[in-house]
Amino acid sequence: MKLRGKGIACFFYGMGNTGKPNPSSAYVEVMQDGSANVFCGVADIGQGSSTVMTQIAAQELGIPFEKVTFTSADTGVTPEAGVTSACRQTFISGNAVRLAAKDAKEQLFNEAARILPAGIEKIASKDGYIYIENFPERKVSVGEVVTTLFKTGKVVIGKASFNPPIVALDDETGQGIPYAVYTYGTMVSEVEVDTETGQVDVIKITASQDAGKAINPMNIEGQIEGGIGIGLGFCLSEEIFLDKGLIKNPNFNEYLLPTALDMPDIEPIIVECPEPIGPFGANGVGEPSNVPVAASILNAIADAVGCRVKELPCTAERLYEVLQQSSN
Amino acid sequence: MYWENYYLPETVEEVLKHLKDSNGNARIMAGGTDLMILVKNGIVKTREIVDVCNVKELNCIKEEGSLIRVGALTTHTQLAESELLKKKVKVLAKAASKVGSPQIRNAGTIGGNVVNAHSAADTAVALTALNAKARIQGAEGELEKPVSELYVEAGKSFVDPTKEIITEFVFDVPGENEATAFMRHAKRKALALPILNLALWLKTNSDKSMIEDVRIALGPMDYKPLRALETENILKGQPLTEKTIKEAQETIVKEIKPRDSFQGGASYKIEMAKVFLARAIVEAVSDLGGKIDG
Repeated sequence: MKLRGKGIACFFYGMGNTGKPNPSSAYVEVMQDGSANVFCGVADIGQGSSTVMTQIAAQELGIPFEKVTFTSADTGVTPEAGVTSACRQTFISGNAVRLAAKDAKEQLFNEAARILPAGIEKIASKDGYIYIENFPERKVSVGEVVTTLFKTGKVVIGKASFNPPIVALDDETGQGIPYAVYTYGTMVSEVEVDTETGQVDVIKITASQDAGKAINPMNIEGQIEGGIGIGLGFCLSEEIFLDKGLIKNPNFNEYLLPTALDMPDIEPIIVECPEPIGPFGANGVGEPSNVPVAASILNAIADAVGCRVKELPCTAERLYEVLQQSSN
Repeated sequence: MYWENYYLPETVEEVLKHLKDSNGNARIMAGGTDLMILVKNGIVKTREIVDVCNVKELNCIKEEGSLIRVGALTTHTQLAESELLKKKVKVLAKAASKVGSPQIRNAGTIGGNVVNAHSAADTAVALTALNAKARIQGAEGELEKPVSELYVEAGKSFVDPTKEIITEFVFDVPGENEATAFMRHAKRKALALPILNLALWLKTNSDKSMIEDVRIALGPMDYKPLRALETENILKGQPLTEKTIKEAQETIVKEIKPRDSFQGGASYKIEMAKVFLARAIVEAVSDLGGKIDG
C-alpha cells in the first residue's frame, strides 16, 4: 500500500562564528574609465559570493555591474575576509565591501560636489554618473571625477572592515549574544511511503526562507535547493558504517548522496524581511535550508503511516522494521 | 600508464587474433565501466587492452523466428530503449534501464555485465530468468552455454576475457500467454547496488487462470543470479490466486540465503523477496490481461 503524508518544520539559524569576533575587510579602487576594482578575501566555493559582492559594490558606487572587477580569495592581494562558513559572507563580507565602496564613493562625492556644484547631501550616483538628486540633468561621470582627482594628485581608494556586533559567551554561564543576526524559515514536505517495503519517496518540498533582501534571487533558490539535497541525504540515505573506528564505506558507491532522480520537486519561497544591519538588508542563506529537511520529512512520514523512525538515516529497512513493530 | 598496448579492432576475427598473439597478456574491454576501475585500482593487471567497442557486428537486437538474439556489445541504453524488447521482453529492457546511471548505461554492454560476473548484475538476472544462452567464440571455436552456467565463483566468469569473447545472447521470444517482469529495490534511485533484484518469466494457460510454467531469478543471493527452483515448482500448475502467491512467498523464504551487507540486512532482504515476488507475478499476469483471484 502507498500512503501519503505532509510534514512541517520551522527553524532559525544564526549568522557567523558563535560569540567570537569574525571580521571581514575589503578594498575598492575606482578607475579613470569609471570602473572599479574590488578586493576581498571571500572564497567563492560555488555559492556565488563573487557575484553578490560585485552586485553590492556596483549598487553602492552607482556604477554598472559590468564595470566592477572583483578579485576574491587571493592571499597575495586580497584583505582578510575569514572563512566561507556559517552563512557569514553575504552578511559580513557584504558589509565590508559595501562600506569600502561607500568610503570610495564619499571621496568621489566630495569632488563631484565641487564640480557640479552642489551640497554633498544633495547628490547621488547611478549608472556611472554622479548627479544632483532633484536635478538629474546636472551630472558628471564617475570616470571624469576620478580623472579630475588624479590631476590633483589623488587616487580614489576605499577600504573598510566589518565585524558583527556580538557579546562573547561567558565561560561560566554560557550567556552572551552569540550571533548578531538570524534567519528564519519553514519547510513543508510531502512524501509517499510504500508500506510493504518502507521505501520513502519525497514528492515535493516547499521551502520558505527569510533572505533579508534577496540580492540575487536565483542564487538563493540554488542555495535552498542545495540545502534540501544535503538534508535529504542526511534524512534518508547517508550513513557511515564503522568497524573499530575505521570507516567501512569510504567511497561514494556505498555512502549514498541523493542523485538527481532522488530529488523532489522543490518550490522555494524567498521572504524579504529586511535585516537592519545587513548590506542593503540582506542576511545569509547558505546552510539554513538544510536545517529543517529531515524534521519535515520525518513528520510527513509520521503523518502518512502513524509511526516514527528515531534513528537516521530513515532507510527503507529501518522504516519497515518500525512499521512491522507498530502493526504487531 | 596502466597498459602497454591498446587495440581497437573492428571484427571478431581481429579480436581473437589479438588475444591469440598476446598469449594471455591481452584482455577484452567492452564498455570498460567495471574493468577500468579494477585496472586503475591494480586489482586486474593486463599488458594489453583489446577494446571491442568498434566491433559493430556484435551490436544488435534481432528477432529471428522464435528466437531473439542480442549482440554482446549492445549497450544498456540500447536495450532499455529497444521497442522490440519493451514490447516482448520487458524484463530485459527494464533491467537494463536500472543499471548505474545514464553515462554507465551509454557505455556499458550486456556482455560486459555478464562477464563481470556480479551476482546482482541487472541484465544477468534478467537473462537467467529468460533461460538465455550465451554464444562464446575463442581460438578453438564456438560454444553455446546457458548464462546460468557462466559463473565460476563470485566475480569470476567461465568466460576468459584473455582468450574468448561472448558474441551474443539467445533466448526464446516470449509467446502468447507468456509475460515477464523485473523488480529492483535499492537505497536510492540510481547508482546503487540493489538490496534485491528479481526477474520473472511466466506462462499461463489460455484463460489466464493457471500458471503453466515459471522462472524466477534473484540477486544478490549467491555467487550468481539465483534461480528459485523450489518456488517455481510450487507455482507450476497452480491457479492464479492469492493463496498460490502466499504459498510461493512461504517457499521463497526458505529457499534464499542472502547475507547482511551495506545494502541491507539478510532478514529484510528475505521479506523484500516476498514482496517483490508477489509484485512481479501480479504485474506479469496483469500484462497478460489476467488477474489474481482472491
